[in-house]
Amino acid sequence: MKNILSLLLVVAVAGSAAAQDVEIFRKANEAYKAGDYETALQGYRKLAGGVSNPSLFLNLGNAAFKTGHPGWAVVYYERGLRLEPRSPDLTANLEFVRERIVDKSTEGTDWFSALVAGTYRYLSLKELLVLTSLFWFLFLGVAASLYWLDVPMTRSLGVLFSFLEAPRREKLAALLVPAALGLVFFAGWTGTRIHDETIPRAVVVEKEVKATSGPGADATVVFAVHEGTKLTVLRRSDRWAQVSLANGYSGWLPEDAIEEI
Amino acid sequence: MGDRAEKREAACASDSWGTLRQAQDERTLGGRDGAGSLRGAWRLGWVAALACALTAGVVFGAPSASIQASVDRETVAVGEALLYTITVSSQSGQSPQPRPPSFDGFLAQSSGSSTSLNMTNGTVQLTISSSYQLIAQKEGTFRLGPAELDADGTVLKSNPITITVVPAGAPPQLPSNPPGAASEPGEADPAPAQGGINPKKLFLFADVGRKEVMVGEPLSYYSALLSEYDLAECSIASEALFTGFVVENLDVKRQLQPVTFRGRHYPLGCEVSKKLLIPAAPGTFTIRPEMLRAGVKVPNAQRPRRRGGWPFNDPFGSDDPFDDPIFDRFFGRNFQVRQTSVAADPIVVKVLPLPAAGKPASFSGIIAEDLTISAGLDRKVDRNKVQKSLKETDALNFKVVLSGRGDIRALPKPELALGDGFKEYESKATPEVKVDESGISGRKTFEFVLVPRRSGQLTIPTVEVTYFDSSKRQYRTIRSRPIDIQVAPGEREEALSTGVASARKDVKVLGTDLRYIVESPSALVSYSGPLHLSRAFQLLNFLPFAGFVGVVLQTRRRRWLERDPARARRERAGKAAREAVARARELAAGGSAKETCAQLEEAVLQYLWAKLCVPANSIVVETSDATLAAHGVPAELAARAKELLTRFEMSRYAPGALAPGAIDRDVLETEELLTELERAL
Repeated sequence: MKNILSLLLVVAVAGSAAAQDVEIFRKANEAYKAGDYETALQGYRKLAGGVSNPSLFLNLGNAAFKTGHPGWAVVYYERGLRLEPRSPDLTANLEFVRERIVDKSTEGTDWFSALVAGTYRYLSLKELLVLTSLFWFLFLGVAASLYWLDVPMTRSLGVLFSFLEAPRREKLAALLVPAALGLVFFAGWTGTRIHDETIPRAVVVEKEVKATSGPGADATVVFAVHEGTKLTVLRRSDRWAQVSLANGYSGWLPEDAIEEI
Repeated sequence: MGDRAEKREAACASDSWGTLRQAQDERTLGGRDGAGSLRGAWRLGWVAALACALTAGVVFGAPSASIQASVDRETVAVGEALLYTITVSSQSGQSPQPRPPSFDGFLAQSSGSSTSLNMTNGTVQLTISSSYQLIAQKEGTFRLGPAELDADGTVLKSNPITITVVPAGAPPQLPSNPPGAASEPGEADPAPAQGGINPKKLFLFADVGRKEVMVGEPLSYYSALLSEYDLAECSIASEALFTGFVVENLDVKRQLQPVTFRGRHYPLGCEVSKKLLIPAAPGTFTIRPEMLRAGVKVPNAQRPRRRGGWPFNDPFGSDDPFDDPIFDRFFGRNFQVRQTSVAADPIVVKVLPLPAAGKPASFSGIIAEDLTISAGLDRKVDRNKVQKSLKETDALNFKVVLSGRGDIRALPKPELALGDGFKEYESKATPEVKVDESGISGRKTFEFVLVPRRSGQLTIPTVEVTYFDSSKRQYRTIRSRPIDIQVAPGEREEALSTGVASARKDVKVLGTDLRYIVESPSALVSYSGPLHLSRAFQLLNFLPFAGFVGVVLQTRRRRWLERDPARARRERAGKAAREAVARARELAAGGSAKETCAQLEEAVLQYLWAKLCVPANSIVVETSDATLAAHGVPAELAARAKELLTRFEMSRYAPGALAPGAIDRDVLETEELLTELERAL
């Protein structure tokens, strides 16, 4: 009885919290429509503490841009694209904001780089993990079946080229090579993406900030970056972060001036 | 006295350098060994002394730098800008960077810096001017503290400056007039070496003519630099701001030349910008003219000239024939360049809205003067004759031309009330305008493709355009004349091949913006965290692997058992015996005593054959105990096994002798026996 009551309480609290969130969301949308972008941004930010959704990040990015913070807009759009890389709205809005950023993009802008980058990020990490698992199951299932049926795994390549002539019990071997290739391909892609997402990437959120050669305002200024520029965080020390740009420039910025994606 | 001596005396008397030079040359030619080597020695000594002096200055830290701050005006209104300049002079050859003071109350923006190098009396002086544009943010009196400079281990400070910020709209006050009278027409005057630059002698003239216009009525903006000073350079520090206006740039000649302005002659004048401004909305707007930076030539103080060589015997004198004041101006050595900013007062323009009274519903939104309209076809038509060449579904090009003064580029396409007579397929507009100081004028041509829907008498109706005439200050409607034509019957076609195809156009992008937000509460559904960190996902991926390992192990076991049938039988003996006992139990439940006993006997014997690895049927009941004992089975257990087998054998032949309930007991005993034999074998 006690457990049922606890469960009911949890459900009730969750329900009321969800109703509260809906109300906050509605008010933020109303504020956005009325042009009160600052209020909308505050409402969306309150929700973002507990909700991770690409549509919410779209709204956050829009409100941030409208309030004159393109850097934060880039942060939110990038966060949304990590969850839903093929979102046309997030992609379009990020492109819109990038065109208005002071610093020219230092990432590859030729068609080949764009094609590779677009393909690399076409699937979300979750989709890649699912595909990898499916190929993993397929590979293991075929391998186990072949082992049980006493079919040598080396036959799999031969069966591929002479499928129709192969005995019935050996036809299953034709699946092994594609399953293995698929597994290697998606596992590699997934591993790279997981590694990629562990690399902290950040966006400059201040209008202009000067990068120094070391952690501290007294060090030599090496270059300046502007709001919205994307960079990689290499390490942190004493409220400073060493960052690098896509063109290889490296320097130290105050931690307050950047926000991790 | 010889000729040479006479010439020397003449040179001394006349103070003519030419004669003196001649005398010196003659001395050189005549007395090379003596006087020439002496002069050479003096030159060497002079160079050495100069080097020592410079080195001493560096080594012993003679004062080598100075810092001074200045502004172009000391009184500004809120929102207006002033130029704050820090001038650093250094004789050490280094370029120290000054630290500006705090600009509380102002929005500061660096306007860059300029550097000049000057050599005076053999001393190199480096002057760096750093300028900052300060925009006043609030009223009050502000003290711009001293700028600082680190030089040779000491901190030098500039003079502080007090700035008064008056409320916006209050007329800014010109700085106090420095001493000096207006220059006479002629060459540009040098700026005073001491004191400020007179703003009446160097200023920016900016004006728009009219300060009150209507929305859409163009204004002409003109700005020019006028100077009575000699300028070394001039550039635009900040562009003019025309908030509330659409700006059309006009050609301007930026060329410094003498000009006469309002009856006064200025040695240097230059047009800065000419623009046509079109107010976009009613209200009061402030135009902020350009701010220029000018380098004014300031004369240096006269430096003493020393004549070197004989007869002055001054080792520090100069033998340079051009070292004379009259050549200073030629080589530009007699002035420094002082940077200053030149700005004009903001211009307030009142833009009146168009009168609401009398505004027709068909008002096109255009403000123009003397607008005219003409309309016509691409062919001549006689309203009384049927146009044999004009049939139904033939296309007509109908042109409407509007001409006049005003921004007619913005004229919208006139609506044609064609009714059921014609179908309009496409239209295009071609503006041809000229923009100059007097405004915008020209014409805009609208071309329509019309196709008659039916034959007979058709009329292309009047085209009306309503605009606001700025000269007459009233709304006017102009109309074209209607055109009547007779159209012959023709084949009905649903569409013209040319008309429809050419009616299709690419969608024109008129603007870009962010895509709109998502309002659906589905935006509140949270996506789960990283899947690869989920325990359930990891377990799900581990299970197939565990299954694979299980399959491999099971397969290996199967193969191993297949290679050793005896062992396989031995492994399976216990399971087979239990299955046989279960079958016997079923038979016992069915009441079949004989079959039950046979099954139980079979179960035990099969078990013993498999476990003892002996040929089938080789175990005899009478010697079964001995056989079991030979395989290590305890005697008591072996005896029980023999006793049970004997009973089963007897029951086969005399089933009726079994007591009721004995079968169940036999099943139980058989199970117990098999369990104990399993442990023993």
